[in-house]
Amino acid sequence: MPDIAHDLMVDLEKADRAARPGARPGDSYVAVVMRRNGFSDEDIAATLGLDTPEARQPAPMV
Amino acid sequence: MPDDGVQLAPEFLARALIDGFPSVTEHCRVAVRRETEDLAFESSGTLEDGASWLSAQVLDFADGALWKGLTDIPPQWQGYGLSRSLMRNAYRVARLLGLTSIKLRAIEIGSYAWLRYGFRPDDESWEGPLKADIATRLAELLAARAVGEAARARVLRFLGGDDPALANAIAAERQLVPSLRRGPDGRPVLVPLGRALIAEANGGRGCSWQGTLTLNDPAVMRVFLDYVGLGT
Repeated sequence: MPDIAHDLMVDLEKADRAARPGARPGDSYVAVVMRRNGFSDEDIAATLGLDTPEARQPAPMV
Repeated sequence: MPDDGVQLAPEFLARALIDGFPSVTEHCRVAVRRETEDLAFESSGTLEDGASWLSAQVLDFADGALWKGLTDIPPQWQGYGLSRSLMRNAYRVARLLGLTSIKLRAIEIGSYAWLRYGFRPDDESWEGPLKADIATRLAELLAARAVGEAARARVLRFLGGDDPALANAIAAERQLVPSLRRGPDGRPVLVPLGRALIAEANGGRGCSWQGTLTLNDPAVMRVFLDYVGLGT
C-alpha cells in the first residue's frame, strides 16, 4: 500500500493544474529562498517557468 | 501551552489527528513511551469499500515536534483529499500543543512531494545523500542531453549552497525533461526537472531525507496552508 505521499502527489498535481498559467502554490517561498541565496529575479523566473509566453498571459477570470 | 487539561487528554489528541476521516470503523491506540518520553499514536480503520488505512504519529515534547510516521491510504481512495485532511489535523494538533515543527523521513515520491509542501531537509540530509543523489541524476540527464545549459548551471549553483532550503528550489525547477516512466506510446513521459532529479534519483527509487516543516516561518506556512486547504 502506498504511503500518504502518493496521495498528496495527486493533490499537488491538481493544485498545479488549477493555478494560473505559469504559477503554482509555493512559488513565493521558492523566490524567498532563491533571493536569500543570491539568485537574481531572472534566475527565479527561469526556475519557476515564469519567463515563458504562457506565463505572461493574464490570469483567467474566475 | 494551552491549559485545558480535558482537551489535552491523549484520547482527545488521537481523535483530533483523524478528525473528519470517513471511516466505517476505526481504532486508536496511544502509547506513553517512558524510554523516549513521548506519546505514540497509531490509528487504523476501514473505509466504505472495506479497504483499510493506518496512520502513525509521535508527539516528541522534548523536541517540540510532531513526527509523522507511516501513513497508508488505499490507492483507490487517493485523490479524495484524505491525506490533506490528515496533514491539516497534524498541523492543528501541533498548533494546539504549541509545537514548533512537524518532522518526517521522506522517501520515494515523498522525497519530491514533501519539498513541494514546504518541508526542508535537515543539514545532514542535504550535505549527505541528497546532494549526491541529485548530482548523479543530473549527470544522467545531462548525458541524455535532456537539460538546457541555464538549468544545468542553476542546479549546480543550488547544489553548491549550504542552505538546505535550496532543495525546495531544485524541486521547483519546471523545465520538462524525459522521465524514467514510459507512456502508452512507449515514449518517456515528460516531467518537471525538479521531479526527475529528486523522485527519480537512485534508478527511480527516489531520494531519502529527513526534514522539518517549520511552523513559525510565515513563508513556509503560506505554502503548506495553501496546499492543505487552510490558506486565506
